[in-house]
Amino acid sequence: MTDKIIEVKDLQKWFPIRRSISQFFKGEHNYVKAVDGISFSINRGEIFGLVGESGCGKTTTGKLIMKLLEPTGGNMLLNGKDVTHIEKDELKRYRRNVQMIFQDPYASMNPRFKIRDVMEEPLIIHKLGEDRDARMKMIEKALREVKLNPPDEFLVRYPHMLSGGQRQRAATARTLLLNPELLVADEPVSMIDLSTRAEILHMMKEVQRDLGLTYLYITHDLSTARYFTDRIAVMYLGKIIEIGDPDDVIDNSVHPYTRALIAAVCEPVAGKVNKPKIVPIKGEIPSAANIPPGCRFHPRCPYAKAECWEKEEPQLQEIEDGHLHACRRWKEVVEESRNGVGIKG
Amino acid sequence: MDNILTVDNLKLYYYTSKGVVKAADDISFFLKKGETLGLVGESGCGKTTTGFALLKMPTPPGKIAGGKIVVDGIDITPLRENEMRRNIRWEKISMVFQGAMNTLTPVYTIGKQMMETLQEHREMERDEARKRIEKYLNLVGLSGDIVKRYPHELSGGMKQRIAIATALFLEPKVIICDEPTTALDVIVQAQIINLLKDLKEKLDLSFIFITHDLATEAEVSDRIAVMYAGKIVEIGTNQQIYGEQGPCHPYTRNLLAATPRLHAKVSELSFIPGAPPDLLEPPSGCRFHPRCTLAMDKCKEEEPPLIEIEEEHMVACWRCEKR
Repeated sequence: MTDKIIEVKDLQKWFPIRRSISQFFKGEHNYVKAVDGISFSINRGEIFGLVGESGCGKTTTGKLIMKLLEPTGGNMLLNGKDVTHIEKDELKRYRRNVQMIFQDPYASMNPRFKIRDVMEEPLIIHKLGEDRDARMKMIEKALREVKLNPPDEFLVRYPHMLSGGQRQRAATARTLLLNPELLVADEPVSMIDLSTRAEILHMMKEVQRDLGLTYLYITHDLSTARYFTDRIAVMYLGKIIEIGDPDDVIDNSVHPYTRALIAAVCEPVAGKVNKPKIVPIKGEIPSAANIPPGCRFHPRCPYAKAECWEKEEPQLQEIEDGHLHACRRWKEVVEESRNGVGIKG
Repeated sequence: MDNILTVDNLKLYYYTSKGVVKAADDISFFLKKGETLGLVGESGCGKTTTGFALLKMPTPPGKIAGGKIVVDGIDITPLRENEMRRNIRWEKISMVFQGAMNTLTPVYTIGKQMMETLQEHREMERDEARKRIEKYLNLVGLSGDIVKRYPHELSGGMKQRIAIATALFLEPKVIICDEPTTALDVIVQAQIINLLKDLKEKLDLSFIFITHDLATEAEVSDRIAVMYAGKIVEIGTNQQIYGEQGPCHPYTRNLLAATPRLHAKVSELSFIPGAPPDLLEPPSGCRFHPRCTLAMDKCKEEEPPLIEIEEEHMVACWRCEKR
């Protein structure tokens, strides 16, 4: 049996929005359903990728797992223990186990703090290390872990004196100080230059292997997800619509949304200049305040038939070991797309 | 073939209190009619600076320190600011700025903002102006009644389309697009790329497409110029850069290897160690030598010139030989 570090069941996060007076008197509510019932689990020592367009709820999911947001429904288990509604001391202990690397390394550090102070803060909050010397030793060890060598040189610098890549290394080192089990990385490389992006991912992978960490890697970029992760979940409008290992999801995807995403990705290959890109999808992503009935992808799906919007929402089903998807017509989709149906420029 | 734009030894320097930053140094290239030229490079390599220089709009403390820009047969280098404004900018050459979709004023309708641009440049009856706005909105795939809407009612892709329509308004010959797809989702990105390709064909436009992403460049650009630390290090056709033989300059080769590919299973992505240099004190000789694995003594001492190694393929590297 694989050891599940975190398990999420039917997790929901609905944000209330403005309602009309008549709705107020009737006691009705309007919600933006940012995360609308998702279930997944992450195994110990794996890198789990959560992929989707902006507004699909991937960052909200990350925040729910960090417990920065209180879920509206569903539950979460960390190491088999229910952590859905923990508070105060328990929450503090939880945060030692689950840490986050933020997207913007320029905004996630106080510009008036030296790296030493930035790094020392979590140790003070969690009362780790007896005195300053002990804490400095821990910080130096963490900086060595992320290859910021020599550590004493970086300790006295301010964040603005570091490059984007170095900052993201320092941010990673800061999370490592607390010995977390799970790291939530929300777009950790999207603000970093291409030439150093691979270096940061490489470093994160090395740290993960050395320390036996588990990552939840949140990104919009399928190409890096394929290289970096062990499993990928694709989200659309608050739901997971396909999940599996990267080879299955990218080379043998079945859900029409995943297929459209893959078709839209640019590849550095010659000879595509004079042809339009073919992306089998219609329109734009609808608002999460007004989710279409039935399969929520049907208004944009070139393969949709009446059953897609008349019957209730399709649930995740397994087609082969570990490869799940939520599409009723997946057999036809694979067949029809092979014959070129639904493909438009 | 005609060149719609020729740039010779263009220099744009930033005169800061710490010294002179040579952000674009000796840039030379040409743009053929009906062609898309890509400008690629990492942040700080001078690609956006070059874009602004072509409009003669350097951001202070920047100044154009030399060189010659010829747009549609007119040498714009000696022109004064009001002549640039009246006859060149948006009339001959226009730009879709980076993050242009976020420059729309939230308090005015789209129509009002577009009208303002138009009336600033041309004396035109309101009705005629309205017709023209509608024509260009339709051209970028939006319906005419969008003029009554406010920016917050539109999606990122729609706002980007409006920015493109505004750049097209006065029928320029050359359009500079600075990272037009960067802040958008992949699917919207693909739609915008298709739109640009479509416009290029319909209106016989020439584009300069600035981005940091070699993968996007492969989809849109006929020729690609790679910049590093304020210099062009390689220019080649799409086939020469992305084809089987691949690029020649070690920087381009490494950058291409660091670009993740969706349909190729790689266990390790390569990367370029180190960081781009500080342009206040650029390295001696070839500016890439401190990060280059092929560097030899000559690279540290002498700066390599941009030489032609095969037809249309220019490289600035001592290690590259004629093909």
